Amino acid sequence: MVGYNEEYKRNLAFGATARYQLDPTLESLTPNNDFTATSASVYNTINEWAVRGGFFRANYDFREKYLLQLIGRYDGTSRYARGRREVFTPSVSAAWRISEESFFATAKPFINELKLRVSYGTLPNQLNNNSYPYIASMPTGTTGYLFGNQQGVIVGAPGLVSADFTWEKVTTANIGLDVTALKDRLTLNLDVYQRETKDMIVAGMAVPAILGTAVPARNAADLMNKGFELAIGWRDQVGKDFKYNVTAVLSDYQATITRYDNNPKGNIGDRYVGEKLGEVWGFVTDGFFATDAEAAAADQGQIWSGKWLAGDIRYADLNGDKKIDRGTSTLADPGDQRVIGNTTPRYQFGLNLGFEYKGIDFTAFFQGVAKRDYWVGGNYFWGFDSEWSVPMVYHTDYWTPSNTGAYYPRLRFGGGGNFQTQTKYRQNAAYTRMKQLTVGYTLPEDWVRRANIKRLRLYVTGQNLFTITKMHKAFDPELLGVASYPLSTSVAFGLQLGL
Amino acid sequence: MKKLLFAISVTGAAFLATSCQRDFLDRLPEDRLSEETFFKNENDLRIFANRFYSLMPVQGHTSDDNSDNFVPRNRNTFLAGTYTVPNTGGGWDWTNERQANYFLNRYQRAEASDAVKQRYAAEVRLVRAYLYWRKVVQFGDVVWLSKDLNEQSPELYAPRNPRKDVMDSVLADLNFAVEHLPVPASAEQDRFNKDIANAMKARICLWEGTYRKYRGLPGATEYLRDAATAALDVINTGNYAIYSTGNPTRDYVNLFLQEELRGNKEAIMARRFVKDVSMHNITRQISDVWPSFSKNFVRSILCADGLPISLSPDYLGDDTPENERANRDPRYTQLIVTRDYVVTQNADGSADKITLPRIPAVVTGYASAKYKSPDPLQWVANQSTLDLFVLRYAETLLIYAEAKAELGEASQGVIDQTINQLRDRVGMPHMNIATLVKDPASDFPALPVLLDEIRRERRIELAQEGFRFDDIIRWKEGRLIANPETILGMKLTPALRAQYPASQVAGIQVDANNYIRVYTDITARTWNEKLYLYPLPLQELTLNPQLAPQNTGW
Repeated sequence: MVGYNEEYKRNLAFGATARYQLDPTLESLTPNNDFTATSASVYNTINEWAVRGGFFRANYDFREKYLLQLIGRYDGTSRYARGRREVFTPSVSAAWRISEESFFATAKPFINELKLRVSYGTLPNQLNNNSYPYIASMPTGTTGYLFGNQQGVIVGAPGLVSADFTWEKVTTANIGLDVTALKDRLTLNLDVYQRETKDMIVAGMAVPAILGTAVPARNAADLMNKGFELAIGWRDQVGKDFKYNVTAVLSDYQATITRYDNNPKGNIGDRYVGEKLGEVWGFVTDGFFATDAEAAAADQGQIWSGKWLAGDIRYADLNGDKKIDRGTSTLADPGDQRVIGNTTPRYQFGLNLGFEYKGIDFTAFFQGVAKRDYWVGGNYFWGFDSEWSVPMVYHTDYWTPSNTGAYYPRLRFGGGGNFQTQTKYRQNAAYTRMKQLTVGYTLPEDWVRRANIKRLRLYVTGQNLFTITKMHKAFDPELLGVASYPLSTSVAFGLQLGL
Repeated sequence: MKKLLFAISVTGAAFLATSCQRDFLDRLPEDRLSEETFFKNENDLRIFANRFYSLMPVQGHTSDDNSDNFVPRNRNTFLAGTYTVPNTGGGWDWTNERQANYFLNRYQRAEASDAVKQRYAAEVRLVRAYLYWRKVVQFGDVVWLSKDLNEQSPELYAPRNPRKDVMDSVLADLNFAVEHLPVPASAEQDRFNKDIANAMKARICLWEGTYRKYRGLPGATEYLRDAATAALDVINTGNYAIYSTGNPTRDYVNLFLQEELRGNKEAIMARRFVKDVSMHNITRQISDVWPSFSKNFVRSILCADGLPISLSPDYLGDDTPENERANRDPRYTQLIVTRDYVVTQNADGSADKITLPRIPAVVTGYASAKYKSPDPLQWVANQSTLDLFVLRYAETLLIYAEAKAELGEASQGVIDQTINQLRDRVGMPHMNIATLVKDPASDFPALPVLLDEIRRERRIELAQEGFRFDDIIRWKEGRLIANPETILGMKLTPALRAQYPASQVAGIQVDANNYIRVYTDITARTWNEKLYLYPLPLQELTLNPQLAPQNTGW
């Protein structure tokens, strides 16, 4: 198959604002008494982009045993400069249905279907949030300085752009296995993949601040993502009436930066080569200071220059230099910081259970994450952050001379030096949650037929019934963020009627 | 297989077709400005230059917090010695300098007369001078750039230029601005003019001249002379005068509560604010914060007879706030909130008046009255419309007096032309060089009496306008910060304490002489020589090792 695609989008928008309509019920901006330039306004937007490309796909199928597919794409975009616009991306995939081979005949009664899949291919990716990423434009606006009685119009120097950036390329290698066995009762699908994003467009190499503007974006980073997805299902019947099924899914991935030109010094606040995405840098907590004297003796002034007291956090001196600091916050000299966790959800799983027995049906769905760290921070976590904070009951467990085993350190607005990212307050966001549980009962047809009803099912279903987690109680391991709309636990009773 | 070959050839043909009509993928912005088409006429120069006006410094209510004039509730971290070397930022920002250089490397393209082009270049160079001067004040040696760089420019990795060279470049910018900006009469309203350039030049040159003089560096005299000349040029225009309505007890404080500074003879340059167009929040912040003067500042205010309190027979001591303010320079009650001061004048005629100083909300008891409007409408968040000075004629007069005195050329005529103008507004007796007596309690015991008294006048007149820390730096008088009196408040005798509700003043600690201690954990600040400069951010020293060494002591 051969194809050609061409896409062109032009955005045109305009708007007008005016206040002080003489008759607000009219659907019109005029007549109005709005003669000041600051409140009446008009604006318009004109931008456009275009892409065009050709592609082909060729399939080859040999006796339904060997399958081969070749795909090639050639894409061009208006978002990159001439000469950097086009990209060719091929991909190939093959499958071998082993179960169709003659030598497999003896195993066929046990394994109905066995298929091995392999694919390797590249897809292009372009910046979508800007129609003209390679063209510098001059920002405009107004200034609070008044010329006459009006804010002055201002124009500024354009940011720097490097015209040489081009498509990002995502190359994926995948090996998969599909198995159906034991008379279709067992199914198994496994995919192991490696996806490399090359030439990601990020800020270029860090340069001294006397440049006076942001470093232009370049194709300056690569990212390697490795993972797998596994699904196993079992469905069977015991006797005549009891049918049941179980499906389990498990997946995992981890992404690592393999190139990042912008950070040659290895600043840990930025991306760096070897970084596993989701890394959390922080200090190791070594308990609370028991006495003011103990606090005065420790050198933590680089973290916070105020006076440390009993009940403040003692940080562990990881590099043994007798003081707590961030060094130069680089990989070579992180001071007393280290990677204390990773927020990437590892080993995400789901479990579906179901059975039917004489009109009774049951389904349950669990989901969870087996391993995940999280850092919350902020006033929702610390509670007594400023006079504007609204503390919750959890926040009252703070250190006092009579409550030295408290969860939180002594109270200080702004936290003094206590609110550092650190091991003690790192959250274990692993969880298992009963997402859904449904029990239903369908009345026997004989019973309901007399009432001219075909089917009558009563059921009760619950959502988010319980969660097993070690996360701080003010936060939800599934939502993670602060002030997000909470998940509710709900139980519903229902009746389904078929006439 | 045949099929596949066919597919490839058809696709190839499609590509060929694509490359023939390349313009389909050429899409250029239609709703924005770009460099290719900008800088074409005078209007382009004007609207680009507009962006620099908001960078001109205005008075701020906390702008003297880092000095011996004010005692902020929480210790200023820089003076407390707890400022730590930042990884990035910390003032090391060069965005505006880049904007200025971008303009100055392209404005010549405009189709306009040379005079017009030079006028806008002069506007931008005036601002560039100001920006680089502030960098020198903060960091000492810095990299001087006269063009905008890109990410591959080798200049990014250049070493710092010696501060004296940077200041010479600053002076060249200032001279260009003075030369090419029009006089106010022919300048567009609200745009920079020659007087503004001269007033800024005077400020910067006085800073540099005294900085060099008190460090024995060459060039001090030249800069002082430039300062005096620039200030005198402003004075000689006759465009300006000290604001007065003939009310010595209100004119000074009212000057900072003006709805309209355009046309005010004391405003060389003002930042204007107009309701619903551009407003500020400074008036509200002052009302919230109650900035508090230090005992040291209050002590330095003269008595109404023109003598310091250590010499004046009229000084009644400081056992009560009423005694302390009696017979003082009329600016005392215009700078400091004392009994009967109206905090709020409500529309219904009711008023909130001061009886006793409002300790401990006012940490020293000496609340500043400057910029403090009694009008509650001015306190609404971000809705104040009181205009703010950028360049005030009084400062120019003080620059002239100080520069002439530093040059040893301050005649009585110079003092009459400057200091005594300020004194006339508030009804103070004239300063008379012949009869000046050295204050035995002066903070500058070794300083000649004339300079000492000019510095005092400057401290009082320009209080809370953001000059004091710069002054301390240029005079190399950091030790002033270590004076215990600079962190003390008013005298709270047991008798005065008894007049307050006990719970209100229970937490207030006083020293052996009953002066309020604002910081109960220290009796005095210490001055560290390293505080004459700020440190460079760590990351910058790593990215460009040529910036080394870090500023001394950091």
